[in-house]
Amino acid sequence: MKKLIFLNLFFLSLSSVILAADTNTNIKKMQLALDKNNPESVEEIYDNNEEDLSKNWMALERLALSFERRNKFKEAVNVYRKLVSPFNLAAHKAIIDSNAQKVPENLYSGNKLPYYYYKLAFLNAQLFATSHKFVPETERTKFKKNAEGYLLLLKKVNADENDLKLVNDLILEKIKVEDQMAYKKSWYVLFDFISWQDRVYLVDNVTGTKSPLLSTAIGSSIGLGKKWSNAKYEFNIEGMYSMATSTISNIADGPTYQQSSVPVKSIILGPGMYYKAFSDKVFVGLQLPVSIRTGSWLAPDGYSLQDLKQTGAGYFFQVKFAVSGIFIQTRLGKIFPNPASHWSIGALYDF
Amino acid sequence: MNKTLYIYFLIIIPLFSGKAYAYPHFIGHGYNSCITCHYNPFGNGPINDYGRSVSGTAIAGRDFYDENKPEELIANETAFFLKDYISKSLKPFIGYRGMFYKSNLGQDGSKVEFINMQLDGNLVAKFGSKDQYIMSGTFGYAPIPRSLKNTPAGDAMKEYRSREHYLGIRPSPNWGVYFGLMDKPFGIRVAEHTSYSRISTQLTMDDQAHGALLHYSGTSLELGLNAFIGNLASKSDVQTKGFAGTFEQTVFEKNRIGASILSQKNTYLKSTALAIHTRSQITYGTSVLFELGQVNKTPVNGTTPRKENYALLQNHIKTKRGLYFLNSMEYFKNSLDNSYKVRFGPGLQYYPFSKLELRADVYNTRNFSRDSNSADRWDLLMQLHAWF
Amino acid sequence: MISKMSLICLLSFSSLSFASDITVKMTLSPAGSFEAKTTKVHGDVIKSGEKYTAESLWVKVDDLKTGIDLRDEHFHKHFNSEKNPKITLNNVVATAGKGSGTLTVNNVSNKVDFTYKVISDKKLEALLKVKPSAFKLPEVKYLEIGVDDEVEIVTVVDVK
Repeated sequence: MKKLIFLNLFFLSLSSVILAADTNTNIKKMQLALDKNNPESVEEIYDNNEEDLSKNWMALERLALSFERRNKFKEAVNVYRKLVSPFNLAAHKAIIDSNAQKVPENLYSGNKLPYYYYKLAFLNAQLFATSHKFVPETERTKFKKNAEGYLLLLKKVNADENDLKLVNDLILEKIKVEDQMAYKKSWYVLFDFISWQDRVYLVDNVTGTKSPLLSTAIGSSIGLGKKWSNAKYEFNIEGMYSMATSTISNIADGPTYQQSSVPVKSIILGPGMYYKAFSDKVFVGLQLPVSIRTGSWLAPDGYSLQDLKQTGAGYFFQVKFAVSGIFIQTRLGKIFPNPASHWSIGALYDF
Repeated sequence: MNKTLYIYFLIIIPLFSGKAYAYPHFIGHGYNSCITCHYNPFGNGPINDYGRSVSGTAIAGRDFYDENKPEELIANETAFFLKDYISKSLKPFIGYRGMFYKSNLGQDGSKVEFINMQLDGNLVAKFGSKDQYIMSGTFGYAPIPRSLKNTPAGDAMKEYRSREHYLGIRPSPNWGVYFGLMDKPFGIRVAEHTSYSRISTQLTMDDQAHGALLHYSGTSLELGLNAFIGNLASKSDVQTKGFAGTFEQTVFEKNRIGASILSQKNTYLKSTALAIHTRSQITYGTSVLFELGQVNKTPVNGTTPRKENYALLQNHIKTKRGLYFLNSMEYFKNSLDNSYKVRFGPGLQYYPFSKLELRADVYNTRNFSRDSNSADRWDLLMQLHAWF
Repeated sequence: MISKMSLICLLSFSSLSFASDITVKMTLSPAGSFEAKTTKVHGDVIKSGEKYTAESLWVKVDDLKTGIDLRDEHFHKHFNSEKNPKITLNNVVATAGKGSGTLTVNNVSNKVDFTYKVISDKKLEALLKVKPSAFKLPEVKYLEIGVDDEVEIVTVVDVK
């Protein structure tokens, strides 16, 4: 009986030694794989020996690093959490339960909790910072809260200010970017100088012959618009009323006709967009106007004028830049069926 | 209505706060004054070593360089043909500009031409313990202006000549005096010599004069005074004598406001020009220029004097390093004429690497008159500029 | 537990927010100027009555950017950023629009005076002028363009 007990004890201790030797060998292999920048092998070694290696903090640390190197932050977080609890549960609990701003050093000087807290704070902050619109809101909130929670613990264990700032900056930067990408509504008024050319036809009432006339208008506009903008784009819907005077004459064969200082009015409505590709003060974009134009040209006796009222649609290429709280905007484009370009230069004010 | 447009330029635009080949929009890069990069204190002409370095490392792109190529190496390669700045005192420079020009797009009589605008060689010699003495000489091909071709004035012009040569003395970094053939300091020396601000004031690519120039550049103030006696290489009857002055003050750090005066006379014409201008940085690499001017021209033969008004607004937007979007708007009115003109001109400017500039502009010109009507004019200009 | 920690975290880290910035303005010779900027200003400014104090405010030299990559390289090298990575202002005391502190640049420390104005309850803007030569920084010249021996530093800081 005694012999049996002795043999059992002998083989138990022998197997423990063998096991420990195997574990150490595997840890060395994991480290070697990390040194050779082969993180997949680290995970493989761990998976093949999980039962033993999961009880060893050195193996778990290497596993966590291998996940980090492959940007597998969630997996790394899970491993570091294991390293905190159950491996350092008592000290961790004591730190959490303490109300002191800085806990006694003996709670963390003999373990690696500050290091694990930093990793958990940093990785959660990374997860939050790299989250996108397809990541559920609950998960994104969880990452942020976890990062903030571990930051608090880091403060308690007197962590380096730079480390705290790094993590905090990651979180704040993400919040800032999200805020910038959210669309905000506002209104604006505009005033500009505008010019365009119209085609009007002089019709001989007897023969029905149509002679083309060209009218060149220049005037000013006032307008109102609503826009939705974020850090990159701006979308708007705008209405503008223009009052101009024109000179009209024939430019081809036909009866001589000329009239000047003729009032012309137009209403232009339409959506547009701007792209803030280059800076937050310079915008380049496109507007898609629809216009209704009326002109008070007079027809001589025996003639009538066609297209006194006209609707049209077209496009403007537009540029605006911010100067001292207002925007200077220029537009160049075309409204069909007008024969020539439509341009304007003006100022916008947001409110 | 033209008066209202002019007043609009006068009131609304100033809210914000060379030869013709200077680039005053580099205020967008924080360079308020031309003298930082040019030997000529008002720009144009050859650029100094610092200007070459800036052209390669801040203005031009690096699309064609290896992404790992250091900026210092790119800067070194901006030197004249060689990979390093080997001579401290002698600085050679060669420049070429050619332009593809399609006029009156879409109309009968639309023409296509290729114009060799400029091919110059220049040598700058600097000496003195602080390089306070500068000698610069430029010589090269200068085509007869198209408006003067087949005219007596054009026939008298030579196609190969010097557009700039002078001796400069800078007793201190703030003060300089220059003697020789130079452009007259006035307004904004935009690169577009066909701009109304250049044509109306007769300060285009061939309007240099021999004279003396005094330059002052302080922390926020810059001043130029020029007395000239005309280009002594041209016939005496067309040599314009007179004076020019320009002044600029920095306000709110990244903006300059200025005023200029020019008075000149030759056998045929006396003219006096006044202008105000602003140059502003909107954001890094992006600027806006504005000039408003009036030129009174009185023919010596007693015919009716005329008054010309012009305005220029130019926006220069950096899209990315090396690629710029330009947007110009100009106004011109001649008092003898019932009409005025407005010209709109978007364009693109691309510096693929140092020593090369590619530019394309489209101009839409519209005449406004109570008496007549005309179709818009569209012109396409595509320019190649290389320097070594 | 988590929400309580989050609240405490948010309150604790107001001093580490990104609202501060610093601009170093330099004048070129013969003409021109440029600025080096960063928003990464470290350290806390504490208000006590009408007095403002800061134990240490600092920036990393490599965080200061001038807008041109080559110029950034030259700028950082000029400040010896490899050996002296930080510019610090220690023992800051300010009241009634004026203050002083010890500025350390290139491992050389000098007492400096500055003026400030209160922008809001939570923000101050300070202005100081220094001579780079007083910090044993050599004269700067790149391709005949030099930098004047007086720079202006403008900083906007958060106040706790």
